[in-house]
Amino acid sequence: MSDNHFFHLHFNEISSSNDLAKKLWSDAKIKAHTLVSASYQNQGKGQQNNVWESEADKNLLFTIVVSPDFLKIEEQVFLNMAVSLAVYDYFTNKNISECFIKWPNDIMVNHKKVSGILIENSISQNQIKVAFIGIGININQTDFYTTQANSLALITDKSYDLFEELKLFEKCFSKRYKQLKTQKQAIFQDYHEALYLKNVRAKFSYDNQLAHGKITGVNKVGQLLIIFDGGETKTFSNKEVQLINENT
Amino acid sequence: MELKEIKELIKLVSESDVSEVEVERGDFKVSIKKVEEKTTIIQQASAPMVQAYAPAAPVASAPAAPAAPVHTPAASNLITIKSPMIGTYYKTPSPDKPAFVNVGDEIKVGQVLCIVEAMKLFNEIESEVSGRVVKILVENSSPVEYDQPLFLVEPI
Repeated sequence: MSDNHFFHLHFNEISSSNDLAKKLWSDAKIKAHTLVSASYQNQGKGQQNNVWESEADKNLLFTIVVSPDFLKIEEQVFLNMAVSLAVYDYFTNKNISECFIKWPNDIMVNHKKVSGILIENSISQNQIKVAFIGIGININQTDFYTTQANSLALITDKSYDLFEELKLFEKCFSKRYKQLKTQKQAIFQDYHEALYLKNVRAKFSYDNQLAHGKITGVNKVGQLLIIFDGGETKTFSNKEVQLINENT
Repeated sequence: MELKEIKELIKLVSESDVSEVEVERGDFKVSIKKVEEKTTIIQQASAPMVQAYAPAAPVASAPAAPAAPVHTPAASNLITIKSPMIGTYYKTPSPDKPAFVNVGDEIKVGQVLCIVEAMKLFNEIESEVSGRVVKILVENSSPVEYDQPLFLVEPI
């Protein structure tokens, strides 16, 4: 099957597209290059203990199943960057400015989150056997419980056909996935260009303290680098540091 | 004294400015001393039963420590399962779910043992061996290095 086409399975209501895709995979019901989507997820997954809230039939909720056997385990950070860039491209292709990737992989428009990504890999014998790339993109939802969320409809004041939008996203994904095979350095560079608050002074909390500093980049194992006002650079893994958002 | 209490003591010492704590209860005595940010049990008096557990005690502030599981019974035939990557170790699929594996569990090739997360990528690590889990060498949600031992498995 060509890289540009996915075998598409759509469900009305499921627990979570990643969980369902994993089950279908382990039961050998689907192969790589399958896209599992849902109108509604009653147990949408954020990372570990977070929940992804989405109204029924308003947003894109799906999992792409791929086998990135061309990637070494230590190169999986590039997969995360490529997927983030695919969502970023989807928005910037619509001429939406003020779009950035917030480390590690939230997509922000006007300082508010429009998309979340959760990738689950299965590793055996030092190889990525399969990757379940769960993506939620807020499209037509305009009311949110949180003030930190944004959607395409809120940004553009229009409503969209979800199926058409999914097709547009698939194109963006295929392009970046192809690039992942041969041009990892370009992915690394593009990710940095899209990185939220890069070289902008901001407030961070870590180790129960608050400090001002600037994000300088992300290293090859995916850790965030921040240079603090005192001149010291620190390296952080996911959840070790939090950006204190002063823009919303 | 129970393993849980010892764990709590170690946590207490590693998080405080205290460098040494000695607790005596009946014929059991444990002394915990902090050496260069590392918390180690240096002495167990008349409590051989606890000795077997001691190396598994969490050393939250010192990720390098799990290299120490030397005096496990019949260590020679044990298989060490190591982390294939740098990241954060999780023993459960999500915080409200039970652990993938526990000490004493029989595991099979292909069975998921844990998750190692890096940059919000969650990697389910599958076992390449079958056997019985003798020891889990890392604490939940602690950082792990490439090649750091995670599990000791006894072949069956």
